Amino acid sequence: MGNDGEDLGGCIGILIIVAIVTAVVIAVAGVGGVWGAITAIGNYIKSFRKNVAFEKVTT
Amino acid sequence: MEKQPAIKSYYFEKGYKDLKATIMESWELNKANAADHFNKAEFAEKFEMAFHWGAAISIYAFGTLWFLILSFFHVVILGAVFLVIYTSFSIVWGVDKIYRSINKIFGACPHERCHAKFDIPVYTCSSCNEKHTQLRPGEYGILKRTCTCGEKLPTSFFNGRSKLDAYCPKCENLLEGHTESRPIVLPFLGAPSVGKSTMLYSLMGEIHENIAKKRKWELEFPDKFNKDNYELKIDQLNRGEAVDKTRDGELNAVNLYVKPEKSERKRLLYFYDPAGELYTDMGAIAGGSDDERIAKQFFDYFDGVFLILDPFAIPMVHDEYADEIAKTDVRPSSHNPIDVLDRAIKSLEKHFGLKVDKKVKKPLAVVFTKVDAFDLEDKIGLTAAKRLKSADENIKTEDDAINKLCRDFLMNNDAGQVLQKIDFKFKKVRFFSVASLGEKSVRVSKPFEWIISNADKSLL
Repeated sequence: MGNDGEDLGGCIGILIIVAIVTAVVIAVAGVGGVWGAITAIGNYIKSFRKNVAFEKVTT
Repeated sequence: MEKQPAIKSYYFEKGYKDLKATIMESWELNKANAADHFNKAEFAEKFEMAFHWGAAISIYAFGTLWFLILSFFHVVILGAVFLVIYTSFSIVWGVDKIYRSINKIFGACPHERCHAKFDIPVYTCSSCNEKHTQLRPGEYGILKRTCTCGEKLPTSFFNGRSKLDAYCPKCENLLEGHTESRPIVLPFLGAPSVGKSTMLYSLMGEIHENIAKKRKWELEFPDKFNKDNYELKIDQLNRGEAVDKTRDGELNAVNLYVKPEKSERKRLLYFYDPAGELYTDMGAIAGGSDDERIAKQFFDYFDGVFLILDPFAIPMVHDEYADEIAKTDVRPSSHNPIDVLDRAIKSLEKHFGLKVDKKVKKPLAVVFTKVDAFDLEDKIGLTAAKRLKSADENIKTEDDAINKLCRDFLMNNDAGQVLQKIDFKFKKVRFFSVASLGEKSVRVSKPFEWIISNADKSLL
């Protein structure tokens, strides 16, 4: 009886750790993804505005 | 397309360059940002170092993914816009081309010693006079083109291109008047002194006084030169004077715009009145002289031919009327019609690429002039035609009668060879007899109306 309780406690502990690690990874990935996206989108807009002169787009 | 003094349309050159530059620069900026974070990470403390490393990796990983997504959408959207532009260009270009083809619109230079045929003339910029050799919808613009000076020029017949100054692409002379219309090209062939110029200007007078009113045409001379020339010549004829002889080697083109009542499209009547010597000089034909080269120009695009015959140039007829001719001012041509016809046919075969056994499909009006002289009206004129029509029920009209009388005239006067050659070489032939006397002319409109009925029925 004592061993069953210890085993259950151990499993819960591992699950909690995995959950925390997963949450951290997702959070980091999410932040990283947002960071990468903002940087890339910002650079593309900057490049577009520099290279495409709308006043020359005439038929 | 030959290089033009104009700015290429964005969608044919700059658009692609801008797309490429945007994508490449965006990628370089991403790389630079990531490199910057890696550099900062090198000198940072633990947490800051981890942050910069994470930032650099996320730019490479997620940044590249977003770069690819944005590039893809940029290409797709731009491609869709370009497709619309190219479709519009194709439609405008196609409509322009088809309209010109259906209505047989082309350019024919009226200038002496040129007469080149071309698709469109060289247009000049209304601001800087720069020459645009291919002013049509294309890579320099669909409906408008921007000259290097900044002026916007129309590129199609339906948005005002013909209002620009235009020049012949070959001789570079100014083409005055409307340059985009359908020319109807009608050369007058015949030996010297048969009466070609007299017939031509009498016909011009007839068109002005009678035909235009009957057919409800609006007439317009393309330039002052043609108008002044016509007025001078018609005055000469109306005073009973002979029209000045066409100078040797000279190809005269007399032009007149005609607009039928029910049509918006003008026709340009092009009457060519070459010097008769063009068809009597065998050396000119054999050696491919300058005059032959020029004659070849209009043989490339004629709509019908007037072959002018002087009845008194036929030896047997000349002999019959020799005494009367000596007493009057009738001046017969000294060239046998058979010889002149031979040379004209040889010229057609040589320069028109016509095979010896092939017929010319364009209508040929064979016109006997000077029928007001002596009793010719009683032989091949209206008097004889009325007589024949009443005697022969197969002859339906006086014009049919004159046609038969003229044919018989050649046969009966030992000139059957002329008739034989004409019938062998030309598919559509009709004979006429006229007297070219300015405002007192007789039947000069008949051959013209017959040729027009074969060349452009919508004009009648």
